[in-house]
Order: sequence, then structure tokens, then C-alpha cells
Amino acid sequence: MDDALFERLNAQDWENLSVRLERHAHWKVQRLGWVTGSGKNPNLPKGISAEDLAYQAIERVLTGTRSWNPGKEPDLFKFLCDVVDSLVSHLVNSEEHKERKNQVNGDFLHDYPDHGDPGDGRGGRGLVSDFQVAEPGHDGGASPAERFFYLAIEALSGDPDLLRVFELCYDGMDKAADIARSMGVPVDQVYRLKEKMRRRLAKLQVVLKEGERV
Amino acid sequence: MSGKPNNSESASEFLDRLAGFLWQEREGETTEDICRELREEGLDPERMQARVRGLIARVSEERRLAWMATAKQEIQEAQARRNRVDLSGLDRAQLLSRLRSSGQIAARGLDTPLEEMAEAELRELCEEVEWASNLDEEAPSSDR
Repeated sequence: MDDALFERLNAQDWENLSVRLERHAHWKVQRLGWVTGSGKNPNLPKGISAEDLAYQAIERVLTGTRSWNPGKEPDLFKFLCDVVDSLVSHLVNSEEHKERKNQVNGDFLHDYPDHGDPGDGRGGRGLVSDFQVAEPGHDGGASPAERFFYLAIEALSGDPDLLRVFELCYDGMDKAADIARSMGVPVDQVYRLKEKMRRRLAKLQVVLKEGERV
Repeated sequence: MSGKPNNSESASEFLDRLAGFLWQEREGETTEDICRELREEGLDPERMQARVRGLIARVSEERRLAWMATAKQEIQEAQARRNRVDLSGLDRAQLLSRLRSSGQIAARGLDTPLEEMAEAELRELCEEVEWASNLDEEAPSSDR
């Protein structure tokens, strides 16, 4: 790596970048837990944590093992996120394979009944509140992702606002501002709901890890 | 980006969107906001920051040492090139005279007196003495 690039890297606000990247790695690990059913720490090889993933990504970029080309990707944080994603993908290849297999053999959302009104602007999709998880059967019943989906709906159903946010997300929204507009509430309220939802869903990881059948 | 999914959306795509929403960046959030969020999730952001500070210090030091080693080697090579003396034109008498006047022979404690050495040995010794003398005179007083 040439000196100019290193100086540019050295001049970054690493106090901020490091924790932002740790958060990115954290959600990657959490999401992995949803589909593998392996709990809060989805058994990444060698006990690697979200912090380790973020650290390794930064180390690779600073030492030039993964070379950042600002001309190609000016946003260093985005580049670092890509490095984390590639580390996760590499580490959990077998888990990814399981996930893909689930989809190929019948993604549970593909089997989800479309009872919705085709004229409701939601493309006729069913409501998440109608979702029923597959009972354990000779095929082993629901996949971890399907169980997560069901448990999430169950965990949020006591709070109509949370369920509404979940449903809007299911319908394709992923920006707090869009959800706020759709619900007719200030965006700060969506941020608070998001935090509340995150806390509730975090509790599911334990249930998923224990392998409880739903 | 928000948008309507189609009916063939996979569970994986939906879970990606949900996770992206739950941990998305908030406009105007500070480093402390992010740290607080991570602490609430049971992580230790200060440890992460400290590890990265240590990493930057280590990589910077490794680069500095590598640069110094390269620079030192380049200086020595340049000096060696500059100090290489062509003694091929000198005869035995001239080589002896040059060695005696260098003042370094006594310190070397040679087993064989100069007068008994072959001309090739004298030439080799003379080159070595000349090179060492020049290096002593031109070497920098300290590392860069």
C-alpha cells in the first residue's frame, strides 16, 4: 500500500468507523442466528464474534490484504462492510448452504397463502398475522427461519404498533422515514419502535437456540 | 430501498430487509449513540475502539520500521557503489604503499606480513581497506 493511501486511512475517524462496523457485523451475526436457529452466537468457527469480524475487516484493509480503491468505492465504510460480509459468507459457508437448500426445497414464504385483497395495493399478499408455521412432521417441521418468523409475529402481536412496523417491513419498507409516513407518526417514534422490536426479537434467539418447537 | 416485494420474494430477502431495518444507521447519530446501542445489545464498543487504536499504532510502527530498513539498505548500497575503488591498474609496489599509508593495517592483526602476500591478496585487502575507510567517513551520524 502506498504512503498516500495509508495516510488517508490513518486520517479516518476510527473511533466512529470501528463501532459502526461492529454494529454491521453484529446484525450479520444476528440475522444468521435467525436462519440457523443457533442462538445469540450462531457458532461462528473458532468462537469468532461480531467484534472479531469487524476487527479482522479493518486489519485486512489497513495492512493492504484487502486493498481499498477510493476511485472505485469512495465510501470506506461501505467497503469495510463488504469485507465483513465476505468474511461472514466465507465463515458460514455450510450454514449458507443449509439456508439455500431450504429455499430450493420450498421457501416457506413461497408457500405462504396469499389471502390478501389484490386491490389493497399490497399485491394480494397475506397478512403476517395469518401466518401459520408448519407443524413438526416427518420432514422435521418448520425450518429455523420459519420458526423465527412465526415467533417474531407472536412476540410482536401484543403491540399493534410493533406488528404494524413488522408488517410494513414485510411489505417491502426498510426506511424509518417511509414507515413513519405510512403510519402517520413522527420518525423518532419509528426509531423508538425499532429499538423496542430489536429487544423483543433478541429474546427469540434464546428460544431458537433451545430448539423449542412451535 | 423501500418498495413492494413481489410474491416470489424469498424468506432470505425478507430477513435481510428486516435486519437491515433494525440495525440501520440513524441520521445524525453520534459515535456515543452507536456505542450506547451496542452496549444495550451486550457488546463492548470501547474494547473494539481500543483494539482498533492498537491496530493502527502497530501497523504504523511496522510501516515505519520497514521504511527505515529499506532506507538504510538503500543508503548502504549507494555508498558501496560510490566507494567501490578500481585498483586494477596498481602494481604490487603501489598496492603495498597504499596499504601502509592507510593506517589500518596494524589494527587488523594480519597473520601474514604484507610483503609475503600475493598480489591478488594485496589487491583484495586494499579494496577492503579503502571501502571501509570511505564508509566510516561518509556514513550518516544517525538513522533517519
